[in-house]
Amino acid sequence: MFLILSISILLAGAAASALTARKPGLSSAIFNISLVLGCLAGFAAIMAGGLEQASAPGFIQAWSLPSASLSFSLDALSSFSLLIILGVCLAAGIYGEAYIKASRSLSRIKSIRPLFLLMTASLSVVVCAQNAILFLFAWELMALATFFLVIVEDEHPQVRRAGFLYFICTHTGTLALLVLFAILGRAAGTLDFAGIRAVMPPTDGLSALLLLLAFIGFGMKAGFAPLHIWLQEAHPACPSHVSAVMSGVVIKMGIYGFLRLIWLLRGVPDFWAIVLVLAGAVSGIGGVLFALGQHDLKRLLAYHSVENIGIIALGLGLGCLGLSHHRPELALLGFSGAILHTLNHALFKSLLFLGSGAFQHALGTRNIEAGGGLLKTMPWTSALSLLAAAAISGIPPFNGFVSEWLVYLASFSTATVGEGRLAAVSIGALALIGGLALACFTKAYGALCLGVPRTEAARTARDPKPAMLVPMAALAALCVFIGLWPGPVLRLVVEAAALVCGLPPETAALSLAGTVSGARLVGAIGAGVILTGAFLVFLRRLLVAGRLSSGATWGCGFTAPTARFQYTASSYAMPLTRVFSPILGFKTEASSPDGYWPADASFTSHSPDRVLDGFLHPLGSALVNLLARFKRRQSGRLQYHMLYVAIFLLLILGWKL
Amino acid sequence: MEQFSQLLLALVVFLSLYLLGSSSLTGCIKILALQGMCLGLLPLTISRHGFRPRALLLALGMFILKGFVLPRVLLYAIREVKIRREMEPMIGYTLSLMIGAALIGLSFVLAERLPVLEGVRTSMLIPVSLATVMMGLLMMISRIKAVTQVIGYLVFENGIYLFGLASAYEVPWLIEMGVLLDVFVAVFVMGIVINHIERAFHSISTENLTRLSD
Repeated sequence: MFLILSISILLAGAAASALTARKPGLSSAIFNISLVLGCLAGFAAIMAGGLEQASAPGFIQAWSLPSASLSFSLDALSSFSLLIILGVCLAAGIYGEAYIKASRSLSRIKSIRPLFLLMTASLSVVVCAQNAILFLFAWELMALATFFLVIVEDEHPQVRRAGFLYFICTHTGTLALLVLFAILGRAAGTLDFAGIRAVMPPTDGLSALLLLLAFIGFGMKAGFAPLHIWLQEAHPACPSHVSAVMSGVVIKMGIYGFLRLIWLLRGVPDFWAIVLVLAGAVSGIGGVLFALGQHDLKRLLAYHSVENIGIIALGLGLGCLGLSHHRPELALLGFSGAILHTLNHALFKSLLFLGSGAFQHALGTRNIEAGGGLLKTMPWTSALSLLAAAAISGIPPFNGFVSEWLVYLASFSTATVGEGRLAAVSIGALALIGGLALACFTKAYGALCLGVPRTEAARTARDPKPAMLVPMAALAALCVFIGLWPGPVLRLVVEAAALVCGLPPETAALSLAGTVSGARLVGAIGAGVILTGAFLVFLRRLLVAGRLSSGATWGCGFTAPTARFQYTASSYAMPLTRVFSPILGFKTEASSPDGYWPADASFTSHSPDRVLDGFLHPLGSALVNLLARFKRRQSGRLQYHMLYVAIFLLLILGWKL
Repeated sequence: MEQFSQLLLALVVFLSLYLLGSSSLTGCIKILALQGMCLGLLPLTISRHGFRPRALLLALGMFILKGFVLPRVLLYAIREVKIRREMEPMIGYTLSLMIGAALIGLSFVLAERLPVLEGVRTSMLIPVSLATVMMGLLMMISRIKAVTQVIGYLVFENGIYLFGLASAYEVPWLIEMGVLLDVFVAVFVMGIVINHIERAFHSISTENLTRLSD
């Protein structure tokens, strides 16, 4: 079976590249071969699964752990998720090889290659596992592999801090999942997914608890609004190609977990829908608002991940609403939107992160204010990033639009089941997110790639090697392809969504046929608008050729313009950040110039995270202060510690007897 | 045979009490050796079907290890670190003895309520093992010298061995693992811990180990 082959190749590659880590050339070759072969085998498995239909028996083998079995299978949801994983990991891995070689500090670190392969393998196992123990095992392996990838550059204190935060968050999540599956297993008497699904009645008493646990466990990984705290720290900390996988794939495992859980439970009560829609609205608007306040490119992108997870959660919530109201067309629309956006976000966000890696190498910093004019010096990276930025902002002929369109349609049909308020929340949130995301990406892209260079590094920046550009171009091509011809991908998406809803895929495909053609039409119109614009520009150039002279960008008619005339990223975003400052807690420190010959003036602004810096840190230090009082009571003598242990043991013994 | 095993068990408890009330370190080690020998003889006396070669082997191993090897190592250790020969208890000897007596009573009460294991001929095995464990703990808690704590740990460990003996004929390897644990203790505790305490603090008194509070 190709799936097992794929996972074994990846694991063997991880081991081999770890053993040969002292010889970078050999290790790199092993990495490339095993990644490509593993991903090809995985694609073959998906193709084979698609031909055989969902009844493929899968691979089952006994495992020595109690009530665990090594059972893998590829249903529509698994194979779609596997497609995302392998596609993004392949592109990011190939990019990463060149990226590691180009960076002096990263090329010294030997652990990146084996960990990357291990992460790819564990991600594949997560989506193919059909047993709760195997799922948790792979989940934990994935968490640990990504944790070690986050801290590869552990000489920086903020990287260590990010790693620690990620470690705490991911383990809190795993704890919740452990309890979740324990409850499900107790109710069903088995830990095999198929077994749980077979006996699962719609349990109303338990479902509130299950939702809470899933929200902590899967929501922590996905980055739902109040639990997103690790995202904006961990994504900037890791190497860019790892950030791409983290943001594109790893956080999507939370979404996959939610979908798998809904599949397991067969039906959900309608408060799940309300919770998910509200969480989606808060994450979406909050994520994009905090992104507006950032200057660090990767931190900005990390907040955009929160935003996109919000859109996905909106889709999930609307799908749940359809399930609980027994409206299959609404459920299909919502889940399809969520699943397709999962793929789309994986494509354009990983492309953006790969681009940010190229920018970071060229500029030597992640601060977007250090850029400027990169469209001229790094044309390929800039153009590809522009495409991804347009896609993430949901502009028509690109893929981001198609999935947001589906979520919009789901929101509109929500009104017909009598949940007008939810429809209003969802539509309002989507509209606000779309507008703010566009503002944020014009800010980031404008500051980095347009105008004139602000620093020497930006002036001498060059495009990276083709090994880095080709994976980015492949991702960009996919973005355009899905935007213009959503049909083939939508068929897969609808199959996965039908699986989650428990519907036969044929009826599901029929009921969404109209939607698909609508999306294509809008895509075609969008492409037409862009082509017309391009044609007009071309025509203007042709007509005014030789009669126009162009001055310096932002020259403003001065004889000696400087780069500091330009809008900075923060000044561009200022109107919006000021409007939303009660939410953002945007902090500025300025010393304004005074006198006729002002000596120095400065202006800095930053927006700390509301949940992490505004709530958890004060809470943590209050706790530490409280506990410091107890510390004084402690003598530290070994004997006292033993006495406490002995007393505790005796009490337990006496209590149990 | 039954009377003999009862006698040995009573001797084990009595020796543990003696350890609680004794002030001389060398004396303590000798008493510990005696207790170890008693424990070594025990597997021979409690078997249901008479002797078995396996039990004989076990008895021989325990007898040598607990009766000779461990005490020899301990004696070597106190000679090496030139320890003063008195104990410095945190709880006085009389009080320790009284607490020990109370613990013996408590362990009989607890053992009464424990689900009794099948195949244990001597009803005193469980209460005696509990009492030995508790007195070992008491010794570790109430004494300050590291060597005395090791002696306390060994008494504690003897109690665990006794408990294991109760099920020796159902799961024989359990008790053999216990023997291995003893070897481990001999090597680990004496070799490493004492040397390290002495090197780090120029004394083997755990009084200086109060840095644990941070």
